[in-house]
Formats: sequence, structure tokens, C-alpha cells
Amino acid sequence: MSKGALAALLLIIFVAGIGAGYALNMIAPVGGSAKGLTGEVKIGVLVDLSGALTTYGEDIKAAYEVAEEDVNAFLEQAGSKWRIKLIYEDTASSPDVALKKFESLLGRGIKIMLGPMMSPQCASLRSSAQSNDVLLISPSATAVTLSIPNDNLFRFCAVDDLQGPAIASTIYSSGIGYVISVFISNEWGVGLNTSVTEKFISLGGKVLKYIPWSPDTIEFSPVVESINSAIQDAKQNGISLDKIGVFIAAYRQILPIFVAASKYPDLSKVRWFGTDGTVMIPELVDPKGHPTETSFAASVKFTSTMYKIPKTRAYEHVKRKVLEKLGREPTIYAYGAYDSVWVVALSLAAVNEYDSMKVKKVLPIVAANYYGATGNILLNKNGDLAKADYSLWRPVKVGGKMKWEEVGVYYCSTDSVEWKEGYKP
Amino acid sequence: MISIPGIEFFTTLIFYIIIFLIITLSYNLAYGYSGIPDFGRAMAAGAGGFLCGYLPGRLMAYILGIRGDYLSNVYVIVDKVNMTLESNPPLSMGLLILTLILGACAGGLIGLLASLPILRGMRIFYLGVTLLAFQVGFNTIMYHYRPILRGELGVPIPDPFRWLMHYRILGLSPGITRSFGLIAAAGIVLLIIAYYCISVGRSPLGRVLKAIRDDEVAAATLGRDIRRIYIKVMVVSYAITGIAGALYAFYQGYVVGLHFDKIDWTFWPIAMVILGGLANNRGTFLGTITFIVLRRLIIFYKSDLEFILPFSPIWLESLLLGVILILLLIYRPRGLLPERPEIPLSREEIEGIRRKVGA
Amino acid sequence: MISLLVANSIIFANIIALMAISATLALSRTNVPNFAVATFGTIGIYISFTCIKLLGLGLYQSLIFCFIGGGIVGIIVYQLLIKPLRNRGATREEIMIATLGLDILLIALLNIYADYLTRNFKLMARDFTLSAYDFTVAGLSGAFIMSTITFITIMISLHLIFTRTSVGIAMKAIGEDPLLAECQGINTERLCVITWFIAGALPAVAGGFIPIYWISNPNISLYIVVSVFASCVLGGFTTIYDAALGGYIIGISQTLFISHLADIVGSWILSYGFFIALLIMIITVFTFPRGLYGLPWNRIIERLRIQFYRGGEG
Repeated sequence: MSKGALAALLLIIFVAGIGAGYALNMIAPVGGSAKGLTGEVKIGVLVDLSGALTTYGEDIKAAYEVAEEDVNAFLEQAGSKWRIKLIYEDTASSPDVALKKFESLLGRGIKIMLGPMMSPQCASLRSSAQSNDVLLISPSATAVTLSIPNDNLFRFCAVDDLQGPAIASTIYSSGIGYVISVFISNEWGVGLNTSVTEKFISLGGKVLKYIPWSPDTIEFSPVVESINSAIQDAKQNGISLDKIGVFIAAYRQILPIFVAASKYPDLSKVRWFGTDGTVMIPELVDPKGHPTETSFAASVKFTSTMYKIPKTRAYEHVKRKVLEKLGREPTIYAYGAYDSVWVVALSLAAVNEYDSMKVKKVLPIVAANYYGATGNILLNKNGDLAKADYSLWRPVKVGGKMKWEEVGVYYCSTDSVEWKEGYKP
Repeated sequence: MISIPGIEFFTTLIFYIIIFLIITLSYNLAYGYSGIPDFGRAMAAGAGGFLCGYLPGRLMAYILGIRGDYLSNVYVIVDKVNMTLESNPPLSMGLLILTLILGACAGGLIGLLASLPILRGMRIFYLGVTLLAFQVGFNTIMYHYRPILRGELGVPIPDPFRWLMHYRILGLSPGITRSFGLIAAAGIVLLIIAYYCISVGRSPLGRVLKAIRDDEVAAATLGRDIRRIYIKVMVVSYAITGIAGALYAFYQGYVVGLHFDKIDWTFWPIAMVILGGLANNRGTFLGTITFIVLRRLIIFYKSDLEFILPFSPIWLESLLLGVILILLLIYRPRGLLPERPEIPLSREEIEGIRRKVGA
Repeated sequence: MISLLVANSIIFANIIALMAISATLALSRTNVPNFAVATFGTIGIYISFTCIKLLGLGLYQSLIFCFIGGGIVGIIVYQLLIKPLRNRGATREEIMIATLGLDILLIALLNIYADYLTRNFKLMARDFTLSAYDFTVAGLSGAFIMSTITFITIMISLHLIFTRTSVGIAMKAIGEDPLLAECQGINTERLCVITWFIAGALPAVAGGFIPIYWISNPNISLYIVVSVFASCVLGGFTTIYDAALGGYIIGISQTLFISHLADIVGSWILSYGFFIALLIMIITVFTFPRGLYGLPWNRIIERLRIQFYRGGEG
């Protein structure tokens, strides 16, 4: 094909494409024309409905649905000319899929999006969101490195630089002076490792070994072998097992890790501590279906953190509604998700325009004056929650049945741990 | 209710078409003409793309005198760099051009390494598998070795097109202006590359390459050093793809060792080239545009498709790729537009010469 | 007795070796480089999962279904993919790309199946392990015992088939020279079908062992296929014995060796596990491209014998 024809062909495609898009944009604008909101104001939702975070994703989606109903009921009562419409996309617990879905939503002209749920997904979307003026509000991405002032990413959840001290204090106040840090090598795990070990060292503790493992690990015996050899070294140096703890930042991988660890006698003699990635996992309180994992978790008094919110009226309302929809109580992150819908809708109402950057500007003010399912939403300069308390959960036998019990609370303002009756270390 | 694509859909579509045209044209150069099935092509795009993650940020930080460990503070540093670039269009463009050139060099270097197995006189089948192994190894290092791209975490990339966001065209959002800039840059590269590839196709070198592909022994009797030509073709082809990879990385603004994977950057381009027919530039255009449009439409309409399909649309792309590759190879391995014999001179020119000679 | 690490290494080696045998058979007997060999293993994983969770069978009883199911898939692949390609006169490279397409297709189908299981039966069909269904004997895991027994049984069976039965010997013939074999009156068509039954059944059985220790999901074959191909290349892609040996070398080095290395240089090297496989493959291709098969074993044994005798006398 001749070069002239080639150039002409490219030019035609280019112009035709832009022209078509422009024309279509004029015919069917996303949220109403520039001045004033009318019709359906579309808000994109990036949520994990498959993959590693499916259960959390289902909870969060249910909370978004409850919020959409509540907000639209309010708008109807207020007699306003617009309603919100949430457009859901499944990001499959994968950063690549998240980016594709983001592009798809953006392709429909949607500039305000709730989610994504995972920190690695946020990392991969950040630049595109920045260049396209897209506002992102994540309910559950907690990585420390995403705390950047003035960017388009807001997080209605506690960030890990608050969770790290909570875990470190928990470990230290359990009488443990030496810790082995085992963490998944992603944005979340690496940040938590830094935050936990720094605080632990500042309290006077010592880190025996750092064991990072790749997110695509499928076989854990080398990792567990590594933990065991660190413990054997410590024993040889005269450190007693009851002073050693293992900190583990993982998601569902905790299950094969416990199975492997159960084969090493010394590993069940030390204490293990987890994070919000391992809290409330049902298989750890399931003696029939998962006996090995459950008994291991119980014998090592496996304590995991979860960020704590006050039980407000809205909290009870969301809990009740999600229980109706899904038959179970939602994860803690669902409440922040619910609140984000309200805050966005109220900001849109104040700005009265589908302009994501104007909404971004007023968002912190609206949030600070809104008292929702998570209480007050005081965002710091990075657009993330400024303070948070953490409750400590452990699989315990209560009344003959294994269940996750709250065994203590870490208070952010006093930087101390309060253990519940019967669980003092 | 069927969603209507907005303008962002089309800008993304055109950008992807241009990037992948660069890749498939350069792939055609290597495979179509010389018959080397290159299963490591993703490395070429990766070379340029990962370079984008490594170099421009550090370079700018150095020039601006920003202190501190680059990788631990990478988000903050890149944001600062972006602010400078935003107010300085010539600097941005300079950075862009420099990175593209270096991306080409990185690609070419990888191409040289990738052609080493040829020097060993390896049989073609082993070559395919070995190059795939190289590519997987290359991406693995980028994914796990902390000092390059922060390992599994990946790095953000400075944006040399951000200054465009100060301007609005036709009242559209500033993000569109930036997309236009990206498309213009990629388009210029494509025009240069397309000119080059089509010229090579018509040149004596092109015919030698085809001859080698069709019959190695006969070509050897013509006295050309086949191996040196293979290597040259690989290096150039990889360098071109490296530029495409760098452009794509700038578009995304973020890179991690998982990107530039073999499905999207080796096997889809192979499918595109096979669909269009080997060694056939027109066919390559057809194959590339067809597949990219198909894929972008699937991605865009995924939620609408959920109601029609009995399964989740996420898998539709892979399903299609697999089925199309199989069907193409069984029924139409020569592609939809079969290769035509190269006719470097047009009919009139030949007649004219004949008349002059008086035959 | 045997540490967990060593036991797991051997299980992994058994799995890789079985898959390597399948790929080598497909290439040397039917001239097909089978990219989808590891995905046949994933098919085995899901057959096993289905049998256990839906049909309530035991872990090792479902292995029989894996074997049969894999074999059937192998035959289907042969009839629908390989035969048309060969009739068309496709080159080895074109067949390779086709099996690649097959691999991508199968992974997509397996993902769809996993979704189906999750939605309709509320099962955790992704990122699961079946270790809860395994038994332990004298401190050894059932997977270790059963996978080793399976591997040895298959090796012996194949050896007997290929050396003692006429079918087996004929199968070797079609690999070496199909046209000549046809002239001799051998029904190459039937033998190809049998070969592909085996080529499908072996990885599927190996796949039945994967979910016991490894987190399984439909995409897992992408992590394994490199190791399998490395084993085949190391083996030389010709005989099943070299393939098995190659599989063991790669399997053990990827797990045991890396773990010991981690004790010396640090845990970071654990991520580079399958890099060892790549490294071995590249070294093989560059230094002894015909693999273990091409090594002059007779000469090596002779040399060793001379050394031994010299040492004894001197």
C-alpha cells in the first residue's frame, strides 16, 4: 500500500473517531450539561466481585446498593431533578483488570468513581486518574505509600501507618520481645512491615528476620522453612520460645501457611499475629472443614487487627440492611463505602455540576460535617482518615464452638492496648 | 440499555491501534520476512516500557536536584517532577524524545541478546521456546528485583504530556488534550516506521529476507551472510517495538514487572500478523485494526455483555484469542489477505523499459 | 523422618516429570510441541475438585477420573486440532502456535468452569487447597507416598509397553519415521490416538496432586509450563527416561535447592524459584542442545569405569 494512502487512512480514522466521539458526547452527556444536574448522574464503582477479595467485595457492593437507595430516596423527598446511578464493574482482585474497567468507565465519560478496593489496584490507576481528572474514593486500600497530598485518591478507611503501631503494641504488650516479620511483597504488605517493625523497635523489641514472599507464590514450604530456621537460630542463642512472635501480613494464603507450619513442632509454640487481611477468615474457626488450620490458629493464639468504628445509628442501619441482602454482617470496610456515596452525593448537590475537580475540592469539608456509618470522617491532608482505633480479634472456643472474639482494643489517642477480661497475656 | 461510547473511548482506541501497528509492522519485519517465530517479542516492548519506569524519573530528579532515595519516595518525587514538567513544555518534549531514543536503544540491545541463539545455529523450534523463556525471565527480574522498579510494587512514571492539560480543545476536558498529544506523538512515530517498513518490503533487502524465509539453502548459495542479516533484522525490529513500549508506558503513567506480558504483547500481535497474512503490510494493518477494535469493544461493553453471555465476559477475550488462533492456523494460515509476489515496478514502468530497449 | 521440604520437592518433581513425559511423547511420537501440557494438568485439578466436592469421592479415588478424563481430552485435542493441522501440512512452528491458542482457550474454559462452580454450588473454586482431604502415614503425607507410587507405576508401565508390546514398539516407529511405518502396514492413525490418550492422561493425573499443597486456580499452569518445557529440553525431547530425569532435576532444584540457597543468601531468592528452570534450559540449549539424550552416556560410563579401575589398582 502506498505511503500516501496510508497517511490518508490514518488521518481519516483519527478524524472520524474524534468526530464520532464528540458528536456522541453532545447527544448523550454523562451527568447533565455543565450547569445544573439533571437525570441520572452516573458514578462508577470498581469493586472486586471475583478473585481473592470476593467476600469483601460482595459486602461492599451491598453497602453501595443500600447507600444508592437511601440517597435517591432523600433526593426524591428533596424534589431534586437528578438521581444518582451507580455503575458497577468487577475488578477481579487484579490491578490489570482494574485498569481495563477504569478505562471502560472513563470511556463512558464517568469521572467520579468509588473504589478500587486493593492498594495495588489504586497504584496502577493513580496516574491515569490524575491525567484524566477522575476522582477516586477507595473504601479499603490501606497502603501507606498511597498517602499523597492533593492527588485524586481519597480513602475512607484507616491507613496502615495507623495499623502498624496497633499491631506492634499488641505484640509487645503480649510480653514478646522478638519478632519474625513475614509479609507479602506488595504495596500493602511492604508498607505494613515497615510500619509494624519500626514501632516494635521503638518500643524496645528486636526483629529476628524479615521474610518477604512474592504475591504469586503457590508453595509455602520454603517460606515456613525459613521461619523455622530463624526460630532455631534464636533458640540456640538462648531466647525462649514464649518470647518470640511471628507477624504475618497475608490474605487467604494464611491457610496453606498454617497447614505447612503445623508440621513443625516449634512453630506452634510461638505466638502468631495477623492483620486486617487475615481477620474474620471463616476457615480458621471451622474445625470440621479445616481442622488443621483451625487448631493451629487456636494453639498459637492468632490475633488479628481490624479497625474499629463507633456504632452509630447509620452503622446499625447499614448492618441490618446488608444482613437482609446477604445473610451476613458486612466487613468493616462496607461502612466507609456506604458513607462515601453520601459524601459524594452531598458534594455534587453543593457544587451542582458534574465536575469532578470541583467535587474534589469540597469533599473534605462535606465529609467533616457528615456523621455517618463510620462516625466523623476527618480526612488528613492526604485525603485519608486521620485517626483510628483497632480492635483485636482471635479464634476462641466460646460455649463449645469456635468463633472470632474481640479480645482487646488498641486506642490510637493513648497509644495503648486494653485487653478484655480473661484474655490478658 | 446499551452504553454509548464517549470521546475517551475513541482516543484510547486510536492510541492502542497506533501502538500496536508499530509493534506488528516491526514484527512483520522479523517474522514475516525471515520466518523466525519470535515468542519473546514482549521483551522488546518491555525494554522500552521498563526503561521508562527506570530512567526519566531519576534523570529529572537529578536535574532538579531533588534529594533522597528515589525508590522509597518515588510517589512524592514523581509528583514534584510532574509539576516542573507541567510548566515547561520544551523540557517535557525533550524528555519524551530522549526517552524514546533510549527506549529504542534498550530494545535494540535486547534484540541483540535475543538473536544470540541464532548465532548458535539453533533450530527454529528451540528458538521459539528459548525466546519465550528469555522473556519470562526478563519480566521476572523486573517483577522481583527491587532496585529497578520497586519489585512487585511498580513505579509511577513522569508525564511529559501533562502540560497539555492546561489547554482545552473545542470545550472538551483537559484530559482529552493530553490524549491528543499522545496520539500525535505516537502517530508521528508510526508514520516514520511505516514508511521504513514499507520501503524495506520493496527493497532488495526485503526480497533477500523473503528468499531466506522460503528456502534457506538457496539463499545461502547467493552468497549473503544470512546470520548477520537475521541479527540486523532482529535488532532493528526490537528497537522499533521498544519505542512503542515506551510510549505505552507514558500513556499508562505506571509500570510494574507484570506489564508487557506474553499474552498481550507477544501472542496477540502474532495473531494480528497471522490474520493479516505474513510479510504483507496491508494485511498487517487489517489484522491489527480488526483485533484492536474487537478487543476494545469487548472491554467497553463487558457489563452489557454480561446479560447476553452465559459466562463472565472477562474470559471472552481469551476465549476469542484461543479460538481465532486455532481456526486461523487450521484454515487460513496465509491470512485473510494472502501475500502477493513483490512487484517493485509498476506495469507501466516495465512496459516503458521494454519499449526503450526495443524488445 | 523426611522433612516437609524434601517431601514437597519430590511431590513437585513427580508432577513435573509426568508432564515432561507427556510433552516429550507428543513431540517425539507425533511431532507436536504441546504448549498446553501444563493446562492438561489444570484440567486434572478441576476434575479432582469436582469429584471430591460434588461427588463426594476420596482424594485418590478421583485420580482415576483424572486419568480417564485427561485421556479423553487428549483424544479430543488430537481429533479436533492436531489431525486437521497435520492434514493441512502444517509445520512444527505453526502447530506450536496452535497449541498455544489451545492453551489460552483451555485456560479461559477452566476459568468459566470455576466461576460456574462458585456461583452455582457456592464452592471456593479459586485459590483453594485440598490438603484437608489428604491422609498421613508415619509422618509422611499421603501426597508424597501416592505421587511417588503413581510415578513409578507409570514409568514401569510405559517401559513395559514400549519394549514388550507390539503396540508400544510400533508407537516408537511412528515417531521415528511415520511414512516408513505406514508402509509396514502399521495403523499410524490408531497409534496417534493412543499416544494422545497417554499424553492427556499423564498431566491430568499429575494435576490431581497439585492442589494438595499448592494454591490452585485455573491460571496455575502458566507458572508450571516453563518448568515442564525446561525439563523436556534438558531431557532432549526424545525418550521418556530422559524426560523423567530432566523433570526430577528441575523439580528438585526449583524447590529444595532454592530453599537451601535461601538459607545462605536470604529469602529474597525464593521468588526466583523457577528461574533455576530457565537457567538450566538456557545452559542446556547453549552447551549441549540435544539434552541428556544427546550426551554420550556410553563414553561417560566407559571413562568412569576406567577411572574406577585405575583408582582401585593404584
